[in-house]
Amino acid sequence: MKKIVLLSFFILSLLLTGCWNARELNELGLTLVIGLDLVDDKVLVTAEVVNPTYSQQSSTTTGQGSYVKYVQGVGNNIYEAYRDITLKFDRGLSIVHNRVFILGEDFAKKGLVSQIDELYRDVEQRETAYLLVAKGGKAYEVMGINSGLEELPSNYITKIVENFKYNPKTVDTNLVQYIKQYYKMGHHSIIGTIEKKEKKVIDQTVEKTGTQDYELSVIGSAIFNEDVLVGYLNGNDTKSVNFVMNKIRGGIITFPTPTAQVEGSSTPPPPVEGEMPNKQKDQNLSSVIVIKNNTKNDVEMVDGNIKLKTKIELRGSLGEVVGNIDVAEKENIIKLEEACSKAIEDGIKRAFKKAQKEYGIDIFGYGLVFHRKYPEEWKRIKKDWDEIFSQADFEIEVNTDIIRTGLINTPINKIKGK
Amino acid sequence: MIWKKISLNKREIMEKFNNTSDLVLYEFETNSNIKMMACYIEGFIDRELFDRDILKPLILDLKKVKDIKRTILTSKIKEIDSMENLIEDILSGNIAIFAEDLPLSYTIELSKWEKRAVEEPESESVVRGPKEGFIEDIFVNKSLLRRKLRTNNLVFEDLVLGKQTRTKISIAYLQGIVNKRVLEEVKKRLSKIDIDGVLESGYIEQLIEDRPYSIIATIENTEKPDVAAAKILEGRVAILCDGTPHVLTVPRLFIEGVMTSEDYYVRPYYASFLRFLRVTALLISVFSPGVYVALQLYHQEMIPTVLLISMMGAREGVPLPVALETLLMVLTLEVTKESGVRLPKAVGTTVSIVGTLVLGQAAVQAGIVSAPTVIIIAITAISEFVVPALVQGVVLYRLIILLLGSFLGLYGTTCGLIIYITQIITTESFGIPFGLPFTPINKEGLKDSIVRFPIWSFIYRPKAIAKRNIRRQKPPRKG
Amino acid sequence: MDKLNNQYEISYHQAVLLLILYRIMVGFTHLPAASILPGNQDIWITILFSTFYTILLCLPLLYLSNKFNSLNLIEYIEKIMGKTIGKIIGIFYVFFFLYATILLISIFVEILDAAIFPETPTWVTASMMLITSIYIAYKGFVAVARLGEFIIPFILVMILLFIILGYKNYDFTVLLPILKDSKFKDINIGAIDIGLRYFNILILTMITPNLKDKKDLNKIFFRSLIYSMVIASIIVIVVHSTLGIEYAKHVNFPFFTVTRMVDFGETIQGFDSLYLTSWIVGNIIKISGYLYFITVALGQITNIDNRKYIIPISVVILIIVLLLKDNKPILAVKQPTQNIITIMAAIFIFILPLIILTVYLFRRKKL
Repeated sequence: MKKIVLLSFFILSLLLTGCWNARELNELGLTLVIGLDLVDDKVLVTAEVVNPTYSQQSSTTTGQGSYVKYVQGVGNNIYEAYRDITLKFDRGLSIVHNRVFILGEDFAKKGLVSQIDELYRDVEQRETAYLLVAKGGKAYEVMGINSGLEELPSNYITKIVENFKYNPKTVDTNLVQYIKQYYKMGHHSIIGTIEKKEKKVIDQTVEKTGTQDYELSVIGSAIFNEDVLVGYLNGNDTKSVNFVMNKIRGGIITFPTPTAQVEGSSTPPPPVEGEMPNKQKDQNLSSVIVIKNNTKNDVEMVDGNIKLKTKIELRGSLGEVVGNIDVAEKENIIKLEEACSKAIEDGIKRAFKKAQKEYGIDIFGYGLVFHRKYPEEWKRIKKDWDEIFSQADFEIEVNTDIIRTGLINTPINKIKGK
Repeated sequence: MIWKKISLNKREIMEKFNNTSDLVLYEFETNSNIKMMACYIEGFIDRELFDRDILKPLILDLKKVKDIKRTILTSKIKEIDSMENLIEDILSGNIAIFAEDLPLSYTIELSKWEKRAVEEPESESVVRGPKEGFIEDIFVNKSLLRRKLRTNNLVFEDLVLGKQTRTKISIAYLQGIVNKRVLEEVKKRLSKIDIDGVLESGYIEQLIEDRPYSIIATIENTEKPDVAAAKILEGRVAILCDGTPHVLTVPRLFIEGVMTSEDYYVRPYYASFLRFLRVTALLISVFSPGVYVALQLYHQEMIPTVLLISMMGAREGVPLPVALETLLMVLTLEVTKESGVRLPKAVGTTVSIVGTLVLGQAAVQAGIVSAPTVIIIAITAISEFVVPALVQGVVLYRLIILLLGSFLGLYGTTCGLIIYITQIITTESFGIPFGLPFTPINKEGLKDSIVRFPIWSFIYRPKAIAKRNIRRQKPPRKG
Repeated sequence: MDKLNNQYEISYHQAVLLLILYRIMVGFTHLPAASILPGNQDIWITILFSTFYTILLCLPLLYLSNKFNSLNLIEYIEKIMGKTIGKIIGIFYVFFFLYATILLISIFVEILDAAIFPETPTWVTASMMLITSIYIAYKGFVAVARLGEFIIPFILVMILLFIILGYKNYDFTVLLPILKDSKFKDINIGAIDIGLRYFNILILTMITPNLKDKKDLNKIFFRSLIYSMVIASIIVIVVHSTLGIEYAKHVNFPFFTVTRMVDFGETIQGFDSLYLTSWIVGNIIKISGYLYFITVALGQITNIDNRKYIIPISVVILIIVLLLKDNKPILAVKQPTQNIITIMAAIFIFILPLIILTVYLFRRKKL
């Protein structure tokens, strides 16, 4: 009995002196997006903090206050900047649910890995948070824009990044994927970008708030040499990189419709430079929806020459066909398939050339393929891989299978039998 | 020792009974001039039968003292020659007959007292299955049990416990199937009881259980003859106690807490689903307040973002810390429950209305309690009602887990969980591990645990309980 | 009263499950295997390969336990080496167990402090855990065995769940090319390193007299060893293909990080709470087992009921853990504690038993 009393005293004293780490929900500043910038060589942290009072009252009162508040802190490194916030903001930041990091361009150019150790060390930070580079600007400039239906800007950003699965013109790199890519020899990392874009004015009387004039876009990606931002890829090139890295899970491919009369490759490849392939005059375009894609990369070494090979097997469904072509016939389907393959090929070749000539670094991960195939040689050349890469030959083979045609067969602009 | 003189007997009985007023000592004389005396307790016997079948033949027909047995035509007549036995018999509703110059007494069993009719037990109601329940009378209970098990192997062993209450106890088991070790243990422990009163089987339960300090009960009780019969069929021992409809069965396994008799009467899939649901409900009921507080205070990262934001919104402006708030709500729940049970039925509805108002709408709107807490408490309460057999343990453990959770987060609740499980699996009920059939693992027993296999697959009795005569039925023919 | 000899009989199931748990908890916690040699994608092969070395290193003890299957380690040492020397060696073993337990608890507490309770003082987390372990140890070996039998399947299912749900984070190409980058020597050194850490053989020798069927001894040893090595290997594969090889070395608690990344359908998160629960449960079973064996060994050396030792030993452990923990991190800074344990393991698992075995072979006639 004495023992039980003693024990219960001990446990009680244990419990009563407890509560060190307890944090009541109403003492929490839940942070969902963090922007990192360099200002005068100091780190500027901008945090988007949820305003719980507002979210509770949202159904009844609108107009006053907002769902989120933005707080900023400055410090020599990230942690110091975090702690700087505590002297300006009444609630302790809780970054347990932080889902997006937006990096200012200056910040990314200074080299990431040396600056973001804290994000990995801090037990509160989840490794699945997305990394995005604010293209051509500061992180805080893109924060706070919400042109989606989500109440919180963070949800808006997260959702458009996650729409990667519908449109592979972006990448959804998170913290772990970034560090994984960084550690891989023979592969340079690309991470997503985010950009502020002006909206076309729709109707001033309906949408009048200032911020609504802008929207965010995550098209394209940022290229890192080691951990330093060196440049950007546009949407189509990003799609091509995703093709090579076998990351395509959805999306569409647009290509010029082959005409039934003219044989083979009479239609010249359209010069595609901008975000969208520029449509030539009188050219009809068709689209294929990706159902399944499988990419195989290979490296071949013949007499010291290195040849990079990529083979893509694509299965798709017709999404849009415009032109004088009867899809109901087998040859025409084959023509469409060939044209689609050609478009992918051209896109990848263009992106490859850009990586080879413009940046001179391997963003596709061919180095890893080489490592796998020639482990002995790899040990010798891994230091110079980027140089070898920029001089390597490239070969690509794309095979498209169209397995569905949608609800109609022949395009509606063509009269059957004519 | 019975005196020859009636007057002496009368004096002694009066002395022994301390002149109690409900003792009837009726002296009479027969037509053949034999002085006689009948002795019984008012309200214990069937007076009508006594007048007609005992008094009348005695007075009219009795010629000689020796002919008493021939005159009273009943099978329940005994010759008694000691005062102790006589008093015992009188107290169990017999009538004692004395005659002048007869150094012994006859007792005739003619007991009849007011008792409840056999009706559906409130605590274990079923949709499908027998609706009858045990009542407060041990003879009726025995016959109810006998009706379920019409075999000569069903044995009742009677004994009397309680120095003052002289309560009739009966041990029931199936000869040839019962686990002999358990039976011996039951008899041994019952024989050691030396208490002045046994008013309910709960007294016996606490006097013979393995772990007197344990929160969990290691003896099962039931109000339904079919349940008791099923347990006896599995090799268990039932202990019937006069004066209560609750029959004890030992040994008890933890899993019995989530079983109902109906499980065996409905389709096995549905029964398995229900049992799974009950286990889940048990876990929810014990752990949900503790885990709720732990997650909210210490592990916000484990709550999905959207849920966390709405919880934060709900907590804005709530003055109490969440641990205290939840504790108060848990206690309020208990108070509401208790008042609902204790109050007369007519007032009961008022309690439920007040409870709803206090626990729900008003408290939330006034900003004293946050809405998620109310939801958690409601879930806890609903889950608790699914496993009524385990309520006593559940309520106390819930408080312990809540305390641990609010001071050490998930770490605390996990430690609580381990201690809970350790306590369950190290307990033994009359030598049988309480955690069966999960640990030590028992394949035959697993067929009737969280999953209930079809009846045709129960070829053997649970081996650990019934050691002998293990076969229940022929294995079903293949193909 | 509660002597190990004349009490609870442990079944084959329970023994195998306990030994598997005791082994994989290390991988479940801090996965030292991620940074052993060869330190590249072939570590999972090294782990499988180490099974061979483990068997080799454990042979002396296994042989002795087979010979004296009604006695435990401490008892047969005393029988072979004579009373005095036997007792001294026994005390050494107790110290080794104690050291292993202290290290185990320090790591456990360190993770708790680092990952969940950064502001809570160590003595609170440590004593909460010790109270739970004391409770289990007090209930005797039956509690450890049955707790293991009941809970370990859940833990294994939980690991399986994490492995299945994390599928979309996997990138198996990091495991290629197989066996091309590592030297044969490195793999062997790594395998020996792992093989030496197989403390389970000591546990097995302690529970031998309690086995229901003594013939199962070898079966238990091999089965549990192979199962646990396969599971550990799978854990390494999962960690590597999720975090990458280099980052896995940087992370202190790799599997914890992996579970933090698991989600189901992007909305159901928080699987780390399940991880945390099963991890705490597993560790407490392990620690209470160790605590129990220490006290039993002590009890046998001194012929006193082992329960009398449980609380004093726990207090000693608590004090040492506090002294150790308030000094420096154990996990991140591996010297010297981790090195000492390897050397000690080599002595107590292989060298000392080898000596005892030689003595036994010489004195066989007399015994």
